[in-house]
Amino acid sequence: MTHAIGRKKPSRLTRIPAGWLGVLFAVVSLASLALLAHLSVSIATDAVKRDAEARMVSTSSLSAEVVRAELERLKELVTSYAARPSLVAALRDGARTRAENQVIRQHLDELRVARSGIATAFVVKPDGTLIDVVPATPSIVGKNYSFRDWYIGLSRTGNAYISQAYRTQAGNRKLVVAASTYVRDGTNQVGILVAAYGVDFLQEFVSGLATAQDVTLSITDQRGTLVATSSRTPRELISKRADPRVAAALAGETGVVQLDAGEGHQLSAYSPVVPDLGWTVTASVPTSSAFATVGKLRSTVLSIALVLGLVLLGALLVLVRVLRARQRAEQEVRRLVNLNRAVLNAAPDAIFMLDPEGRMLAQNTATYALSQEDAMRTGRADPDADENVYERLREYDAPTDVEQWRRTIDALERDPELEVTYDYERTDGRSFRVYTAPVRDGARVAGRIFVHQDRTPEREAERMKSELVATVSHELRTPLASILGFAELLRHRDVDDATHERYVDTIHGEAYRLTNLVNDFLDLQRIEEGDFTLTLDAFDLAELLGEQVAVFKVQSIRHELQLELEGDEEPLTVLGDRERIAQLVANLLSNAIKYSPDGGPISVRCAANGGQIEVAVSDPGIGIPADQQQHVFTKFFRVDSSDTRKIGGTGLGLALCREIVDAHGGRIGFESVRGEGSTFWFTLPAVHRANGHGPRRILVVEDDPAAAALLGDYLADEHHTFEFTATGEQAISRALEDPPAVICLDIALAGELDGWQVLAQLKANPATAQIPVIVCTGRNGRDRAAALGTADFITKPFSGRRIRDAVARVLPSGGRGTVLVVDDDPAVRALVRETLVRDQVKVREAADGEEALEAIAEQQPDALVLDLVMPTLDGFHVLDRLQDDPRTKLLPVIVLTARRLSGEEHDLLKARSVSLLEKSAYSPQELRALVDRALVDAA
Amino acid sequence: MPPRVLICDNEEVLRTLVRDALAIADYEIVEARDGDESVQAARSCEPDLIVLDMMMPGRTGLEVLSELRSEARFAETPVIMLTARAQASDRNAALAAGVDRFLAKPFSPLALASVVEELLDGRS
Repeated sequence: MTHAIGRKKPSRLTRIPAGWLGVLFAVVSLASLALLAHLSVSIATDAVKRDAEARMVSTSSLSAEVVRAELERLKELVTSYAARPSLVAALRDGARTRAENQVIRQHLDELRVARSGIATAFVVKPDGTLIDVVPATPSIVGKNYSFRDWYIGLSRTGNAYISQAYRTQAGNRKLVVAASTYVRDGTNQVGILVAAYGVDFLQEFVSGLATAQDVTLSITDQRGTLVATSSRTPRELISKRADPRVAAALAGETGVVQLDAGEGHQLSAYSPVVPDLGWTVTASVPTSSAFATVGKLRSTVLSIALVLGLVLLGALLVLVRVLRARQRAEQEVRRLVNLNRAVLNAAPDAIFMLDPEGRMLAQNTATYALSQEDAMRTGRADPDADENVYERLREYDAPTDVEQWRRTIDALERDPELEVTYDYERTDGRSFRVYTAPVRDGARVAGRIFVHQDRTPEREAERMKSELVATVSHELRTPLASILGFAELLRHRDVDDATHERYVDTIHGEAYRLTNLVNDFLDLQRIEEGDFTLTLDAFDLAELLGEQVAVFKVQSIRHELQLELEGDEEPLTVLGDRERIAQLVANLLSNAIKYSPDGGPISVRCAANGGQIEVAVSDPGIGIPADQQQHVFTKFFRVDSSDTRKIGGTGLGLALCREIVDAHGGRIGFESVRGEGSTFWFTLPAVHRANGHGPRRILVVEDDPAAAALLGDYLADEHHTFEFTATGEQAISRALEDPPAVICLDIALAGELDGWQVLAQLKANPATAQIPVIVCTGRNGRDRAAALGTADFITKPFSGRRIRDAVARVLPSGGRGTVLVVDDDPAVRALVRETLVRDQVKVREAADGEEALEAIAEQQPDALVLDLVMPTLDGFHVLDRLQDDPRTKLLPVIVLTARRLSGEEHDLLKARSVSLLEKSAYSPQELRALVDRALVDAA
Repeated sequence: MPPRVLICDNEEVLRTLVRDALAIADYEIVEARDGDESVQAARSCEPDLIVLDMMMPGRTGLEVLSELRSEARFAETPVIMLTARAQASDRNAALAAGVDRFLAKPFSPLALASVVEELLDGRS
């Protein structure tokens, strides 16, 4: 059959955690968004930049042109004045008349006002000596100014010349540039006419220009000295030669450059005014304003990108949450499906569900197993997924009443609402109960569930129970019939005295039989229900057997009862409930006598056999037929033959015996030959030395006699004696009366107190708190045990070695063994001796390898503590020698060394299974543990 | 010649009780201790009446009865069934098998005696 509860594989995508998926999407989409924003901004920036650069270049070129034109006009003005004939005439001679001087003055005055901005106008002789100047500055007249640039430049070019900026000595000592030209009389140079043009006027002009172009302009002369800027008037001669823009313009280049001007970037363009003039113009705008539109664009783009990004992130977040919720939901669904399947499969009943068309919707493993079984029986294949299962059920031929079965199936298929429980039996003897009901999904009937329960054990139990009731009823009615019948005869008939006495005897005997029957039955019932506790005690079984034999000797003179005890050099001590064991022995003896009607010897043998004590009761009686032997321990069974009819009995005695022996962890059995007699035997766990009172007494608190005996067995040696108790109450009172050396405590105990309570009480009382307690239990609770202060915690089942180790650790023991300490350092020997002597170990010493071998030869120790580095013969050699001698080959060795061992040496030691303790890691506990283990090994 | 009564029961004490109950009249008593013995005893002594215990080792009382009834000479022999099984189903099974009277243990020996007398009278 197919499993309808299928497992669908989740898609690969849904298996990636939603968080990671979200991060991945966010990174990809935000990166592309950023790239897009960056591209658009950079494209726009490039365009704007090109535009701004073009504007700068045109501005600088235009400004250069305007400046050039202005200065050209100044040159022309001066040149036109220099050509005035009256001026030429006035300058023609070296000696000038007053009138001529006035003429010159007049021209100069005119020139000065011919154009605003001309600060001074003056005339010098061709050698540079000042002739006159306006405004009049008599102090400098006659001084030679041939050092001025206007003079040098003019004499170099011969043509009208615009000078570098300089500070004039005339008038208000302004910064000026001068336009100079020769005054010629024909070809004779008669003087030089100069107009000094104040840079502040140039400044005004530049400012106007700059405002119009919305740039910062600066103008430098041929030396690179700042002549004017649009921002402020230079008061000093400031050289801008170092400015790369100026330097480039002076070299005659035009260009655009972006500079870091200190307070933000600047975009500048520079141009030479004219090559012969040698001036330069630099136009600058702050990058911020040049690229203002770019900035605006960028911020817009970035805002949009930001908004988009946020929206995207938000959407992703929502998506991730939705995805996560869905993944969680899917996981939950998977978990629920798995859980449902697990729940169904955990049921021992076959549970399956059919849809309204009869198709299999779901089934558990028990159903599967059942249908497999059926398929094996009938050889039919598994049904298909869409097969009508009702058909198959109808064809099911295992039920004893197939007609009834088919009618039921028909009814179920016809009526989807039918809810019914029906039982059926199968031809193979098994019984089943089927519960079936509609499965509803809301108001709709989604199908039908079948719960198919194997009731075979229950039916068997019911059958046995009713059989038991019938048997008990029969067993009770037989003596009752006798009692009532004879009583009636006594009342209503006159009988002679002998008959009267016989009737009364019979009534008495039958009443007694009835009492025994009831007692045995109740006893057995109680034992079977586990509602009884064994009062465990270690007692001498031989003594008990003696008592019982004596009792039965009196009862029958025809039988010779003999008690044979084997292995009588030590008492045959067992651990058990003395009263129950007495009951057991009495039952066996009573049977031996009853079933030996002809009398004869009845022997009771008792022998220790390993950890068990075996008791056998043999009779020469009628024996048990082989075909009935298997029922001997069954309740109410009585061997039935003509020989046994006269023998009364409840048929419960041996069943009771078996329960008692089982409860003690022993075994019971018999050998019998019909007509020759029977031997019934049982075994009980032996205890070696019980109820000692020495200082090394172990109190075993354990309600399971087999476990207690095993513990006793494991720990048995000449140093230990034992006392056993089954209840916590008794354990506590014994621990107070006569404190044992150690207590082995089970947790599950007979009586009111459990092991935990016992432990707590022992530890709470100062008189018993010091007694080490080893908890031996099948339960958990190591931590709890440690918290309550136990010495050790051992989980059942445990090995003998484990419990011996535990006891050896907590129990001070004298002469546990001899350890030879071999070390050349007396301090180390002393340390080891001190550590081990406290642990009741005898310590001998040797100072080197030779001495060690001598000491070992003299008397072999139980273990060796060996140093590796020693004079004469080192530790490895000692190990070799020990290895070679069969007597010392198995001697446990603990290597105690300060030396760092090589890997090879480690392997060497490991191969010889030598324990290793490095002196650097030395601790007394460690050494003690190693020596303990070595001594246990040696033992 | 006194009527012959066969008592079939595996319990000696009950056989004694039946015998003592019938001691008031002059009956010849024959005893059998299990099913097989009962059939044999019936065949050998041809009793006038049989007191039969239901639960016996070997063959049960019912099995003994059906075997005997199959023989013509026992077809009319009165049979009183004694049994510790007192349920109606047991009683019905016994009557169906051809038991004349059914007495549940514990039974009254006086009643048994009168039933025996009555059945033997009816026969004679």
